[in-house]
Amino acid sequence: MKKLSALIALSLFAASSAYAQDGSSCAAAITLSAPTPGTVVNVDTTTGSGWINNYGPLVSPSNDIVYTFTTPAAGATGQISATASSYQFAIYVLSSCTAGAGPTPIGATSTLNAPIQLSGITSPNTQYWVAVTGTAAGGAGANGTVTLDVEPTLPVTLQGFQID
Amino acid sequence: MNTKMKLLSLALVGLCGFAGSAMAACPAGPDTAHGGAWSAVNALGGTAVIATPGYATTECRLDSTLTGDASAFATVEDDSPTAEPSYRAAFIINADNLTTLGAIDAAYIFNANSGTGPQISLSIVGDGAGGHLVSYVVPDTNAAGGSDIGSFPLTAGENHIEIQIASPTFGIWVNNNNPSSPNATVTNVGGATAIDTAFLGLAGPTPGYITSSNGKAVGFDQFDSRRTTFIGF
Repeated sequence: MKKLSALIALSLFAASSAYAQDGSSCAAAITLSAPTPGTVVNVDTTTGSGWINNYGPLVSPSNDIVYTFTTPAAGATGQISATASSYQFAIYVLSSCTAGAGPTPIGATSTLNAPIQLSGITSPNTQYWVAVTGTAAGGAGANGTVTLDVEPTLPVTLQGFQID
Repeated sequence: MNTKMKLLSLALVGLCGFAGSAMAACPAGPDTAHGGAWSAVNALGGTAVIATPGYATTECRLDSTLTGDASAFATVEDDSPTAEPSYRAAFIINADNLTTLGAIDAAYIFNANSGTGPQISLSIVGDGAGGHLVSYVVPDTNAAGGSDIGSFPLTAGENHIEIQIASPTFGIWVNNNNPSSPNATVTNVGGATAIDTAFLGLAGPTPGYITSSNGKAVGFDQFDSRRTTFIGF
């Protein structure tokens, strides 16, 4: 009897870095992986620093923790939302990453359970960044924790299989 | 050069502000080609037009309205500065129409550029509670990230904003008529601060601005620029 064993991995986001991934620079952006729908990512900006001063017209007096992901060939159709936070957070999806003067976000949210939809703002096979920071109104002391819920609608990618 | 800036300053007040002149008529457009005082109107995905009445008892104002995407702009341009090492500008802004601007919704309202790019950027952003803030970004070679930032609340109605950049110092006054006490001062301004061009009006909106506030006019009036003397109101 043949036994089919398939190792299927759900992977929307994939990136690699030779740097320590603590989100404190573009090179050290943390890989945002969502191996299963509903992946929870816990962010604590109190451990970071304010290394991005503005995102286009949005100044960022708070600390910044930056994640990165690369969309699959089929495109990203999921969403990123915050389900809990200890402070007035801001989450920005960025098409590039620059220390100091960052780009204008292509997607943003500062409200719990108000997700950023990735479909329509991202392209296939493209790297993006997600910044977790604060708002101008919050000021420099606005740092804390944010719970991200990553809900990719994933293409199932066959990573490997074996036939016994 | 000083005379040139001063003359332009007077012209901007005279043509855009019309203070105290009941007989004055508004120009057909903000730029010199249409009777205004500005060097040019730059609008793509928006409009920058003369409207009535003005602010602070004047007869005419500038209405800037965005209707496009993140690359949209609706500004007027002042080319009269010529590599100015010391530059001061002041204007009135009324953003009351932006009633649904959120804390992550913003657009630029003013830029003063040198030959190498923006040296002063001002933006308007929501405060998350129905109000607005004005934010600034200026280069600072000693600061993390190479710039200094700050934000100050705006009030309902007309707000007076004044900035000065004279390397290595930057100052900003928001509804503040005390020349010796700016709301914020940056003492390590770096970069090429020789101001060549200024842009007034909305530009570069965030996605949230586009969703919440496209089509809503923001009013500007009484723009004045000069080298050193406090403008005030």
